Amino acid sequence: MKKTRIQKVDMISELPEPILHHILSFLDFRQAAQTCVLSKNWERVWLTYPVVDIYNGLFYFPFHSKKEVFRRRRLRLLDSLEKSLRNRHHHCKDLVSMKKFNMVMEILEDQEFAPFVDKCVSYSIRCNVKKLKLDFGLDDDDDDDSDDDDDDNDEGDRENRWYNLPQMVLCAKSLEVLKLGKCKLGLPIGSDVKLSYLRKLHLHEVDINNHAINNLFSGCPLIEEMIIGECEGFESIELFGLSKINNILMFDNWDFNRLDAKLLNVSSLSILDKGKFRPFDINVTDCTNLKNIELEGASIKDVSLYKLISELSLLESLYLGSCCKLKRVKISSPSLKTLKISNCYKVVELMIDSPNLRHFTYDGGMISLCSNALALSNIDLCFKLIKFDNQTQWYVKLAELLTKFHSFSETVKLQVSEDEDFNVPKELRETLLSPLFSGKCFKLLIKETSQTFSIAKVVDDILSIAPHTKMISIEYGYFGGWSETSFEFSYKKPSVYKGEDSSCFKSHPISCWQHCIEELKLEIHNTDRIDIKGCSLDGAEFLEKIDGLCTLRSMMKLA
Amino acid sequence: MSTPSVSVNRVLKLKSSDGEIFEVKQTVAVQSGVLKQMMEDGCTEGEIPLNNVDSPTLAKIIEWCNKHHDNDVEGRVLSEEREKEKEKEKAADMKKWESEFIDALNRDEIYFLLTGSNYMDIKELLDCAAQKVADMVKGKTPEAIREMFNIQSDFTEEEEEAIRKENQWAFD
Repeated sequence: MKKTRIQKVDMISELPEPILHHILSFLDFRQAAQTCVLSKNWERVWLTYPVVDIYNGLFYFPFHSKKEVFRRRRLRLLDSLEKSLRNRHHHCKDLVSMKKFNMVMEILEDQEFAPFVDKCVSYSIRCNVKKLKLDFGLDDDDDDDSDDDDDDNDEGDRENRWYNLPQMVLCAKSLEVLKLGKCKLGLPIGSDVKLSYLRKLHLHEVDINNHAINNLFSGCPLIEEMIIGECEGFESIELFGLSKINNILMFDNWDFNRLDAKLLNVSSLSILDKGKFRPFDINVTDCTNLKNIELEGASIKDVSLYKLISELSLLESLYLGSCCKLKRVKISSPSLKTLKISNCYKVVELMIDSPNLRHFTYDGGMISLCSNALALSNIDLCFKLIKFDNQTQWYVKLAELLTKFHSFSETVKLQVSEDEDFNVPKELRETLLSPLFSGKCFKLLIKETSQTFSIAKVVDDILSIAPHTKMISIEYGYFGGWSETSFEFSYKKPSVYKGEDSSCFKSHPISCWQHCIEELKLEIHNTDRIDIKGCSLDGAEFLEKIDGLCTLRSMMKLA
Repeated sequence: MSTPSVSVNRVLKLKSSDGEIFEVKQTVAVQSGVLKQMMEDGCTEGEIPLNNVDSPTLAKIIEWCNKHHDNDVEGRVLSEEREKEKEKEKAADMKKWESEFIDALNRDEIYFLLTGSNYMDIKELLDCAAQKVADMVKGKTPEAIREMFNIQSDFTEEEEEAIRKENQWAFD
């Protein structure tokens, strides 16, 4: 570009107002406000700036963290802020549409503070705000170090600290996005919700009863997305006829126990509620566009699950977690691509009729499986094992299960809680066929390792399950840290098993891995000090060496 | 990203405010909301006049769009995990490229880029340039900002005092 343009001209002030607003949006709200004294032009830019963003950090002194000081300062500044907003509205009538109004603060036990919030909220609604966020819980994405000085905070009171949401918010026609946290939302009998243009609704830690929540939904005809988490006061939700709704996410709502839904266009439904004693009922009909379902803590039974899934011809992803009434799960869905079942501890049998299934994740007790899922490319298996008395029986079952996955193409991931749980009994190696002989990658995750943990033994065991695997990666916990060791094998041309050596493991139909291994590349990742170390070894003698190589001490020496 | 009316090889002729002609592939041009709309409406025959964008700025804008387009095309037959890793690397590379791109410009060039990308409706570029200006402002006092951008205050002392008072919360 030409460098002849003159630098001494104030070009920034010549930029169109929307661009200057855009620049302000990348600044902290306080600093954006400070630009109002630059010049008359900038004052006007500030007055028409369609964003208000109020958060705890605005009120902090750099060197004062005393609660009482903070409180007084905040009240004083809130007062000033509210006045300046009112002024702004007065000055500038042409701010007809406010884009965004955020107020994210922790409510101390201040009752005095509520009237200011009321005034600010009513200001925002007079300005036809489109996105309104009011969150008075501790906010996670507020990156100030604002919440660590509450030594004189009585925990018992905290639960009662809600902000009573003014009724006018529920009739704000301009609203497109509404996010509420730590608010109490009441609806007197006879009054209605009229959020005609609302597209997104997020409620977090909101106190709202059955009457209010169900009226809220019916007052939002254009709603597309709802997220409702850790709320209390309501037990059941009925969702009918919301023709635009696409995403529903509900999690950990304390009193919630029933959902009835009939929503033609919803594509994703997640209800995650595992932390409770009582499972919730779910009655979903005519949701023919569902692509993704996640249920955690549902009281759904085998038959109704089967029926539900069979009706959904577009379903791609299904997650069932902690659904403790499921026993013999039967799933039939030609469209299903991802299936995850976790902690459904009564499940003993799994029948999957989903020829297009690509990802399968299972976490729970040992099961018997029947599947025609031939397209599987990714398998995660995680068996919770209370120390098995009969290791032989366990292995037979595991081998049986893995055999069913012999056609997988990419990865099998297996997770056990202790290294002692993963054990291939010597006597079985010689009699049982290897369940996995076409694998490319085998991953093992061991949550805790014992004193006698030996990587070599684990590798040896894995190779007897999955001989000729190209990659083995073992992730294991020790002394509170994590380590990951991965092995990359290259083999000589796989020869066919001829039964030549009696000491060989029987890994029919291909020959024993010990005779084909050519080279091994070893890579060790460590969470502590040393990040990555690699080396390569030749031939089958590597087993003797790996244990030494993998211990921390020898790695330090090498480093 | 592509719309039915967009073909890979077709080229648009963009005419800058000072009369220079730039040729841009349609697949690249879709990054501009305005050009995309024109393509959908089928009115991209001949030269498209961009009266608010001069040729040095337009050259920069096209450089940006080409870079961001290249990044989209590469074929992928990687495993999912590798793909994620690759994606991350790519994003980091792109970030680096973007900051080098924007840091190489002087202030005036950035202003022209802001108006140009705003006019042509290229959101990512507009964001990147606006972020750059915001970074220059960040943490500075109003006096320092005035000096930096040669902004002349047209307030009397009393007026400025009054405004500070009105917005006391921001200056306290």
